[in-house]
Amino acid sequence: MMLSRVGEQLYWMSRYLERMDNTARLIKATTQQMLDARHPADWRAPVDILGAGTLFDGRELAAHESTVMAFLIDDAHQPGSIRACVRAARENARTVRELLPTDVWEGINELHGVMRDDFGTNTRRRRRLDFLRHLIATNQRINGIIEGTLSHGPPYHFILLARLLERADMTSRILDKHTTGEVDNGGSPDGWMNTLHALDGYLMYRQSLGVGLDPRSVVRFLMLDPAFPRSVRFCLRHMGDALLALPRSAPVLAEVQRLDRRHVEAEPHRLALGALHDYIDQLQTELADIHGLIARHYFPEPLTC
Amino acid sequence: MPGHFHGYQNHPFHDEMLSCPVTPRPAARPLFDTLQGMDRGAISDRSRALEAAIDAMGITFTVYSEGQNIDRHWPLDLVPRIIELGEWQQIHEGLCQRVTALNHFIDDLYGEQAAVRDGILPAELLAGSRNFREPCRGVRPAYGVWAHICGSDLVRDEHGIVRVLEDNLRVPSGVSYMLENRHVMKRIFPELFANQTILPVDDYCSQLLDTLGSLAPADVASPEIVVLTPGIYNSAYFEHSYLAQQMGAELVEGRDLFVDTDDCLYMRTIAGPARVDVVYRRIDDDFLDPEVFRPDSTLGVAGLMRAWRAGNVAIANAPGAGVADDKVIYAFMPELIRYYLGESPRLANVPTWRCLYPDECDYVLDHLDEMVVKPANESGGYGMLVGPRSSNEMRRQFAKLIRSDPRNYIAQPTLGLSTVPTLVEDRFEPRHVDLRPFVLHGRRQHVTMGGLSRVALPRGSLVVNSSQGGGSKDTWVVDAGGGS
Repeated sequence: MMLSRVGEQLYWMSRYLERMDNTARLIKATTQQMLDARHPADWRAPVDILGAGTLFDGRELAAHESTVMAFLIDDAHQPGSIRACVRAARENARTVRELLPTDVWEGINELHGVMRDDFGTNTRRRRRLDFLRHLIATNQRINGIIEGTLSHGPPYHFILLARLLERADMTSRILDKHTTGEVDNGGSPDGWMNTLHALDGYLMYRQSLGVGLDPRSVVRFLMLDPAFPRSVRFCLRHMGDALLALPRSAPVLAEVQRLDRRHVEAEPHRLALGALHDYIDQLQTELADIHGLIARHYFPEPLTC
Repeated sequence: MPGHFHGYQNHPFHDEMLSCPVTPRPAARPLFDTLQGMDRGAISDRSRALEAAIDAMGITFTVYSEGQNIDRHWPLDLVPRIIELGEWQQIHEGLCQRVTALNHFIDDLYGEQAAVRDGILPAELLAGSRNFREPCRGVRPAYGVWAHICGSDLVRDEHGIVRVLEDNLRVPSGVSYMLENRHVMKRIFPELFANQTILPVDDYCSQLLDTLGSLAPADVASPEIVVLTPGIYNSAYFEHSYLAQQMGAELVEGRDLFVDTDDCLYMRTIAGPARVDVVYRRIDDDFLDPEVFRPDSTLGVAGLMRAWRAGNVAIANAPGAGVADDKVIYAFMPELIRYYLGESPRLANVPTWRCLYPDECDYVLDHLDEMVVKPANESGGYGMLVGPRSSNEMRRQFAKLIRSDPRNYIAQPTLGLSTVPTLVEDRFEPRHVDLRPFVLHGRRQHVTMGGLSRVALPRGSLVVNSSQGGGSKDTWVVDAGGGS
């Protein structure tokens, strides 16, 4: 049976990989959106979406493209930066690599190599898009290897649980950018389309709904769609499946199922933007509570010395 | 056709590959011909492919430098070290004999101490031994075996004689690099593996698993085996992780384990506590159990010694096995082999002066400039004096150290270690090597086919430790038709 410490390390490896992936998607979509913008663009938005606004202000940085990109991609002291995520994923993977298919470790090493070799060059747009695509593709390859070759035992289910929890959180964050009003005029169709692009959900949205791009449909799609793999609902459902496969999971499973029910009942797509923002805050708090419950239930006691 | 080896200087040392610059030894002929058939461009292509393979496979070692742990790429040289099978079989016999005697000796020290009683080993040597563990007295591990994994360092002198330089019985490392070196070399020189018989090394992990399994308490049908590591910041962490993975064993840290009131060892799993039967520990005795050894250790497990003494868990190597890992004890090995086995040693020691004895000590002090002086209990090449390369001041300091604690020092003549051609930029130059084979001893004995060859990369250097700039070579035991 899997060690508690190993569960914790797989969990963090998986969360950091997913966070890196989502951050890369967000930066990619923001960059592409900025190329189309008619007005001098606001590069501050992704900093706030990723919850790094306070740190950014504390550094007294200006919201220019180059500073924001350096802050989100390269800054080793910014815990949500791509560099920091790759490093944290690798440090966690290093200690559990004996449980993972060899190619998973090689993939994570490759991410590390990309970060090492491309230091500081990603603030330039032309390089940046290729670089981000490389990161996302490498992470998708890692996920594919995990799906294709890791036995569906406890390590697999811990990786899945962590990935889905992180993804639900990131999807809600990316959606939240529309509710803060200022960002890209809140409701412009371009903005909503960009959000779908950031989550690689544009095609799936069109296939699923086939209607015009109205904000309510997009919110419903990203919050409640049962079939789109990045929707919050989908993530909660499949977290439940992962938990069902883990030992002693009943108390955590009950909480996830409760959140899933409440989430559907809240009908977030019917909320006004301001109310939606409050709801997303609350959702993020509840996701953090589920993380806390998983940690208390499965992870080893923190070291006391 | 002098080719790549034009001007190759193998004198005055024994070269493992070439008997003179244009004549390979028989087992090295296919490799020699292949290299000669390649131009410099082809050789540097292979060398780059080798670097790329090590990078892709993530083969690293950790060095501690300026307060930081740094992962470095594992240094592997393109040219393997070749040993002919017939010669290897003799070395194999010698290693089995030596490890058998070592285990008799350790078992005796923690038992009735017959070797001391019979005057083979001076009593003061035991009294002054830093690695003798009083809490191990009276314990009888399975088969009377204490050192289950032994890495003995072998060198070949100017006369071609293979000698044991030291025995590593605490937590010898390097075997994962031996295995990975072979994986890399098969990728780089597939044609050489296809066209001759290079004996495989890859059964080590299943042999290790078998050895560890044989140590489990008698009533356990399918034993739970764990590899106990000090953690990610240890320089050998790569290996701990690698071996656990290859054996399908759990890789655990001290905080993953606890000893319950039933004196049994458990690991904390997501499903609750799970019983552990065998611990392959890669941490030193000092840190094993804060109840018995260093109380400030956070790497070990409180109560582990209790569980071991009660026979509820096996520990490999057994606590206290390091007593024979003492360079002064080493000097007594020929006598100990004769004493316990009634046989002559099949593998020679390096001639060793023991400062414990006043006449030998005087000799050492008079010849410091031509000897290598080693403290009894250091490893990794630290704390040594290499006479011919030392200053007057260093020799004065060492003379003082030796006089203040003679029991703790031995001295050996400076050895002319054998050489192997090594790629230096784009040419082959002789570099000194040693060899660390690994011997497993549980219900049965098993010796790796060859071992890890380490190479001193700077010209003339004799220091092969990877922490001090050493590199490595794959080791090929080649059946050239002369073996049986």
